[in-house]
Amino acid sequence: MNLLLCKDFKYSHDKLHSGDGLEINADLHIHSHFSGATSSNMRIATIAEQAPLKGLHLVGTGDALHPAWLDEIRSLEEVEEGIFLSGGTRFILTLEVEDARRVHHFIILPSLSAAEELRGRFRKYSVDIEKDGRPHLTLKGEEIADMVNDVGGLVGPSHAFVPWTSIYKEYDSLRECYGSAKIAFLELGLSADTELADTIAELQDITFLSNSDAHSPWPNKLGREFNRFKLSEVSFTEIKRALLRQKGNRVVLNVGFDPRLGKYHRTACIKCYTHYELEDAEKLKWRCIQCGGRIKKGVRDRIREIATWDKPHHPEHRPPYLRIAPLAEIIAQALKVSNVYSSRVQSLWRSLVLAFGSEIRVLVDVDTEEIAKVGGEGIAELIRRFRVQDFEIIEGGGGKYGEIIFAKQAKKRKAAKNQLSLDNW
Amino acid sequence: MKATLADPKILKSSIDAISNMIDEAGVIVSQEGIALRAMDPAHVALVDFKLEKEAFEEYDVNETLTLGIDLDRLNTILKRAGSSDRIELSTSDDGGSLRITIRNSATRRFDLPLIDVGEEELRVPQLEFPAKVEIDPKILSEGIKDAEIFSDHVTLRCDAENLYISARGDLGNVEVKVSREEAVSFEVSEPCRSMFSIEYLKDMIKAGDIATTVRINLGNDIPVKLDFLAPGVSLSFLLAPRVESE
Repeated sequence: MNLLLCKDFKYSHDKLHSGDGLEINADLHIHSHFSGATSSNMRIATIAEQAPLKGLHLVGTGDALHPAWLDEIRSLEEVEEGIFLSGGTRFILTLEVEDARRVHHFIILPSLSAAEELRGRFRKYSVDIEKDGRPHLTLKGEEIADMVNDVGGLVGPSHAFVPWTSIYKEYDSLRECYGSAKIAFLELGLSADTELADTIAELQDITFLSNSDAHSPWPNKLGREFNRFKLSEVSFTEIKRALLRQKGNRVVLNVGFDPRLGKYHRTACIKCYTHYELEDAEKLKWRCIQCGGRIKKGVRDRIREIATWDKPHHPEHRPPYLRIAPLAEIIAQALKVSNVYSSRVQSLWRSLVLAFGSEIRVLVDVDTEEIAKVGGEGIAELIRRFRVQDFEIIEGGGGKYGEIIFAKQAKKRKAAKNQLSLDNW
Repeated sequence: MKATLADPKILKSSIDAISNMIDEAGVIVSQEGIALRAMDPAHVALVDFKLEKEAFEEYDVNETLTLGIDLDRLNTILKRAGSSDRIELSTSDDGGSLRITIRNSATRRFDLPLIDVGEEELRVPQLEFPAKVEIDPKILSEGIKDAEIFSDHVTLRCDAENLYISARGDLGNVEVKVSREEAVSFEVSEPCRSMFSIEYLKDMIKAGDIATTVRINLGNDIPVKLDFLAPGVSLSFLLAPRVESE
């Protein structure tokens, strides 16, 4: 499989209106500043400003049960029921909850009234629903799904394979969690893609979502994973039809990390990040031989445990999965600096995005000779190499994101298996 | 600023060793001399380099400057200097470049544009080393080359009497022993050992050309600090260990 593109696909950001409908880029799962461990910049105005720079047209509000966040949403123009406009960016009501077994569920809601009704139903099962954007509920997955379906919402597992808070860390099947309740989608999470998830037979009929779960609005987080929907218009009903693949609506593209870059892709120590094969971790009783830290099972190994097949079986409806990396990280590599937030990286990122319209266009579409005129030969060369997969990846694991490595550093680090970093001291 | 080196070897060898690991860095030029401290992108190695004003034939600096230097390009330029050439460092008239003038039978002038290297905070590990052994850099260099015959990593080990440089591989083993008597100085308070990437060490030992001795600061599974010591220059490398789980 092509690392950048699964199946034959030419990304075309400009043509939002395809022949018989609308194609939009949507990142549905984010969190507001009312959720734990989020940036204070996760505010509607900032998100609305940053989304188009990335190339997003629709963003989930996240945290749609939080009273103060709902007040901010209410202040926006409601262009369709449940769809809000700020700047040029549309927002749809979404949220995430944690169930009694610490499994996270992602929810899309049709209206503010549905949000109010769901909050009323959840309230007696939560002590933090008024305080935390992502509330903890003393309910089972099936009970949550039933309540969401009752108010006309859509529900499915969040980041389905991550080792801390996902359905497959807790259960071996969807049915064990949701019983007979309907689910509308499954969110892949950063450490998985369709190649991995389509090894599991029970997921053959489910639409996959690829969302960022961003906790900050900057473009190396917001939209680092997103979906391209084919719709007739931007509305909850049309999104629902796309997830259920009705009336020609569907997700036409999942866009996201190479799963090896996800921070829980490989089984690894959560303290020193040493990687382990699953059988070695089991022999060591999940304690790191290097530092005594806890070893956490990676998404790759968890999927292998529950997989039906060794190789993926892509169903006919499954869209391509486009693998991307944040442009800022490629710029940092080109400039040979380790800090993606440095002023040089941010300045160049802004120049490129402003020159070509969005980050996605720079990463995927624009001729590299044109990129060179704005960003210099070094950037253009790395983007060209990114597109043809001329790089190596240091896999993520144990909570540490993977890294894309080009040329010189790749040579050095390839020789450095089991190499610790000075950051360990 | 203006600084002239009668012997280009110190600067050439130092930058040659450093630029293999670190592509760009902020070089601080002050009245005391020239200094550079930086970490490689993988955060595996840290370099701390000081060239004191006494090492220069002429040194005229009135204010402290931080010059963002592309070390790869500087290394390429310095390689153009022969052993009998004099190297003069200055800033260009507009302050936007480092000017490297190589003088001998002709005067060759290179202007290297300065770059913005940002202000990333560099966290230097604070370490206590139970072993400090000072030896001829050639011994370390040869020991690492011996180890490379069998492996891509080398173990440095000390006991009360000896320093050992050893490697194990599928095709054979090698051990180089340096006794207390053969060392220039030898302070070992407890036995210790750590394993390191040969690829990184090979870059570092290039600095052996400038030094009369190298002090190996070693502990148990902690980074090693190599101090290359010579009059007027201080070049130290800190290298994180590899884990021995293979």
